[in-house]
Amino acid sequence: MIGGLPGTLAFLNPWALTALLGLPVIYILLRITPPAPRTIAFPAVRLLAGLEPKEHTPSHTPWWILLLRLLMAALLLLALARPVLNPAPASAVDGPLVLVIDNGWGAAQSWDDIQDTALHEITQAGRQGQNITLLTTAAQSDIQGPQVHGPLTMSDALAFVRALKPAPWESSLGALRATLPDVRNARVIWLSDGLEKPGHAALARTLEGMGSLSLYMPVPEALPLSLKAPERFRAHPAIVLDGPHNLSSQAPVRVQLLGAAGKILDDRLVETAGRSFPIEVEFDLPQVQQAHAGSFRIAAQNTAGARYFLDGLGGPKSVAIIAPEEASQSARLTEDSFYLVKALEPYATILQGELSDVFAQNPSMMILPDVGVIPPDLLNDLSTWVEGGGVLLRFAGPTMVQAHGIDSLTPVALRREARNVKGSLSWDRPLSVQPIAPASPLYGLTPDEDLRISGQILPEFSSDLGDKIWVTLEDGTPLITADQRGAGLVVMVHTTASPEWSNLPLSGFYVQMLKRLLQFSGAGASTPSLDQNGLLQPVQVLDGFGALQSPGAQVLPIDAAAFDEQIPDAAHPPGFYGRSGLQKALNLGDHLPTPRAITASEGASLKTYGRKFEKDLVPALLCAAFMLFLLDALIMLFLSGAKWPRPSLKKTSLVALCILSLFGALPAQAQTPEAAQELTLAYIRTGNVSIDAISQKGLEVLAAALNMRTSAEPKYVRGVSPESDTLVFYPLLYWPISAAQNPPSPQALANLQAYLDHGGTILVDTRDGKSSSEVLRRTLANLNIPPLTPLTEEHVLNKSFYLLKNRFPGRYDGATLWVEGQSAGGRDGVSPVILGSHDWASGWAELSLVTRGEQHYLSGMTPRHEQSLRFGVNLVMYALTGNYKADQVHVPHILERLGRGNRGGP
Amino acid sequence: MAFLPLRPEAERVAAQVPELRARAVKTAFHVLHGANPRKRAGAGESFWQFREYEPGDMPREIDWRQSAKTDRVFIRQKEQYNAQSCLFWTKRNADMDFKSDTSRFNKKYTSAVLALTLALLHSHGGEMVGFAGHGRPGHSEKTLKAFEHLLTDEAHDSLPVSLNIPRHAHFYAISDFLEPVADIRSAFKPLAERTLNGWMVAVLDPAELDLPYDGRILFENMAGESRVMIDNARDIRSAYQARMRGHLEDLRALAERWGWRFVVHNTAEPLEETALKIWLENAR
Repeated sequence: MIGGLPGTLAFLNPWALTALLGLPVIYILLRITPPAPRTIAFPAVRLLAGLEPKEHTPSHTPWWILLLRLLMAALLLLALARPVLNPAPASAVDGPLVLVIDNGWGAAQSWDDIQDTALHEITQAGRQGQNITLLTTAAQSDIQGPQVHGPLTMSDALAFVRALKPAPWESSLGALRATLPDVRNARVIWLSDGLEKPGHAALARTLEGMGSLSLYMPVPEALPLSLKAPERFRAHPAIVLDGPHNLSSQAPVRVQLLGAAGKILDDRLVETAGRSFPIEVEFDLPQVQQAHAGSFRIAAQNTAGARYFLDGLGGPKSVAIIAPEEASQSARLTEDSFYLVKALEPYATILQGELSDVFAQNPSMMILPDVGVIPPDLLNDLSTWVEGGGVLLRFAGPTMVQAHGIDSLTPVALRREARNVKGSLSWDRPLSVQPIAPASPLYGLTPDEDLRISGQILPEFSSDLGDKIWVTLEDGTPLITADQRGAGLVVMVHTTASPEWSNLPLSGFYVQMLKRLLQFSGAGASTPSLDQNGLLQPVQVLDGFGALQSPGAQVLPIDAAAFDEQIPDAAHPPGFYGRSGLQKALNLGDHLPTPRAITASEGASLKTYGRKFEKDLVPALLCAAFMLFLLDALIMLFLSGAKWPRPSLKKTSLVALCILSLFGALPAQAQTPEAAQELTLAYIRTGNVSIDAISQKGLEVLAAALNMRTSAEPKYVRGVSPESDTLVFYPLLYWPISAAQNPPSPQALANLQAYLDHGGTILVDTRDGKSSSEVLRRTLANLNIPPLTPLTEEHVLNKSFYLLKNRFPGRYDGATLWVEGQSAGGRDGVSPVILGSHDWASGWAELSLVTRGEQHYLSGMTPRHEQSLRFGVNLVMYALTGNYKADQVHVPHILERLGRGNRGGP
Repeated sequence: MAFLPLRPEAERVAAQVPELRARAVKTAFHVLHGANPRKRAGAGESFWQFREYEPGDMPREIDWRQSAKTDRVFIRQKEQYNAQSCLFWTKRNADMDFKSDTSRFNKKYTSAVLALTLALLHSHGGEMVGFAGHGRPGHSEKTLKAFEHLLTDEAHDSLPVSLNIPRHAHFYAISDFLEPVADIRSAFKPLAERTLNGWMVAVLDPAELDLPYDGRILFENMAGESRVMIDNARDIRSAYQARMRGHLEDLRALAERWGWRFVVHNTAEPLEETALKIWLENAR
């Protein structure tokens, strides 16, 4: 190999360049070889015969063809010399290659670099014929899969690395160290993600013992960051951003809050410079949006640790209100549950009932208004439920005071008497509420100024009382206290849920407070003891790049009791686990050790990714040479005067037609071109020849009348079959129904229904002059038709073109015409079905169209025919223009008002 | 090459020669009107002579005004004229399809337009036109239509075979005349014996006249039957041109020996000039 400077060009087979000396020979050869003769058709050939040119030297090849061919030869020779861009220096140590590839969660952040470097190192070692051993730090998806692969050949190793993907769990260096192969004097290269994992130092020492260790890590900006849950309840969605603790001064990080559907609700740019991890990020969103919060994400980080999902993604919350049994309807306004239901109804599903009943429904939050005694077994269940993540909200009240012993499920121990500041014997005045302190999770809500508390149960004093108080009254006594129990929360409101002891239930603060508490509740607190097998099945899991996927077969369910302790691994990747109605998120960030960046160690040389790798230029050169060859061939074709097929107009259009028909554009257009381009009246073919003939004739007469009298100019009349024809082209279908007719087929019904649903209008004609018909019922039974009412005189159909006085004679006169009752919403007021029995087509068909020269007229016209035609014209206008004429309903009034105005004016 | 409509082009050429018409009217009024005076009495329009009435003459031929001047009865004799036949023959084989880049139309089209132009001029004058060897000549629109069709038809003969034309008729042979002169002589000799009013119009492409090619070229004739390989076309150009000139001179000499006239039309040049030249020559 020569020319080893990085960023330059080098040739692996430099001796091949000597062949370039042969180029002049090619030049001379090309010069003297005559080009192929052109053939020219020429009538006067006879006169040419026997003419001998004096000079017999061949015509020269044009210089630019020579240049082209020389260039081609030069490119081929250069390709033979195997040039590479940015040639790599020869490795210092010759020995087997041991490649440690970090494929834990953090590797996804610099995966391209890791993969490129691995491929490059493997290619280098392969070129020198060295053995290659690959070690991966994290277990693969197949649970027991080995972490040691090798020794491998170069192509196997390349294929393995190309297929390798980062895992969404933590590397297990200890397991790798236990299975290390026995290799000596090797080149050991560790491609790390930059974070120090447990067992790092031990593994590094062992690797150093195997030969020379070089450790690659990304630049500090590309170190993986992770998200984990904040340690305390927060009023707003909050997340903790964690990164290497021993490193400072990084680029700002953008943290996004995503909705359940993946929409970005909000984002924060977190300045990390000069701050140390972990950093808590809080999103103060409007209430409405907070309810939609689904997950967090670090922008520009695609690791599994950079995603954090909230439990119960988008699931509706349910609240159970434990109401006393004898809830009488008469005294509703004095009942606690009435106020609670009113306040919570818009935000959650409300369950009401006995304590023993609601457990089965798995509520997110339980409210116990003024419940004194809880049976011991239920109390046990309740406390387990709370500790599993439930939110229990209790209200004080007279019953609680009377209870013999107050149970332990209160945030604070309670005194056994109520403090009443309102009674006739009391000289205190009702107490107001202090503004909420910033430390309280309810901070941000404002108690109304006129809020007055007159009754209260006071807590026993204890040393930790102050930490548990969320809201205090003006005298410093608590209004709301809360305590965390396991994963759950017990909240106590020291007054009643009804206005008995205060006007709190009548205030806006009451609703705000309940809503805020509702947010603290997860989606259905887990109640492991009540679950049959206690297992949460995988629903969706993250892949190594932080994308949600459906779980593979290797993903196992997690015991709900041990869910919080479950460390994500190959069998339990992070993601969603759950059953119906309950979903819990397993987040990688919650289970990661304190992240630290790898620091320099003695035996290993530390390198950063991002070097340019050598690039083989042979394919590019060969490609260029081939292109030149094609160009040369084309030029030769031209020069030899090959006859190009002359594209005549006929042939071109034929080819174009073929191509068009291949795309199916022609057949589609050929089916119904007229109907789509011109207004067409259509009737449904009954199969009865005489009825169809009458329909055809009748509609032709109607079309003629429309052409003569209106600007609607139907061009064609078509009989259609609802089963096979496309109906969308016709604004109006005339459907004569005959007694002998079979009910329409399911396909026909589906097509007709689609036609009606998409704005079509059908005139159904029973053709018998009667108002009810068995045939009609049978025919239309399976069509979804709105309720029909008799046509009123105000209906648009009476005035869409002619003013009809509610008479629509066909062959029969006087029968009722039925249209949709309410003006059809979304259809511009056009009734989808107009139903009558007048046998209009027969009436119209009694007329005949006479054409005399340019003049057309209808013969045989009587007043009844005129009226019948007028109905037809109105009908078509109605189908085409909708309620446009409905405005004219008001014309008389407008005219009247105008007239009055004129009379009153000067 | 698909044929462009022939008639409009021919009408255009004929109409675009106002000079032609003007001159023709001035110099040969009677020719334009198709009258070929026979210099003897016969059925004609113009007066020829008065002759004394003889028994057997038609009484309505008596010129009463002339008779009233004297005692004798005269009849008015008119000059005998008969419409002359004008016959065409064009070469219509594959050779005539040749067109080089410099000319607008191929030789076949050019010769067809020329033939039709001349036919129209002749038929305007009342003469009867026709394609030699294809029916009787006439001057009806129908004859012209048939004539037009014949001009565009494909025919394989390169020279006329056993044609018969009326005596003293006008005869136009329109061809590229690239055949050996001996063949041309033997083909046209019978026709030359029947009329002196003969024209040989050689329609040639500029490429055939000049050989503007360069380099190594394989020349083959239009039918692809014979081919000649030329190593350096530029080198033989002048030799070819000399040969072509000699050939045309031979043809001219042949025509003059028969009393016919000979003209070369270059397809790159306007057709009007050639048509005018022929027409004026006729009228002389």
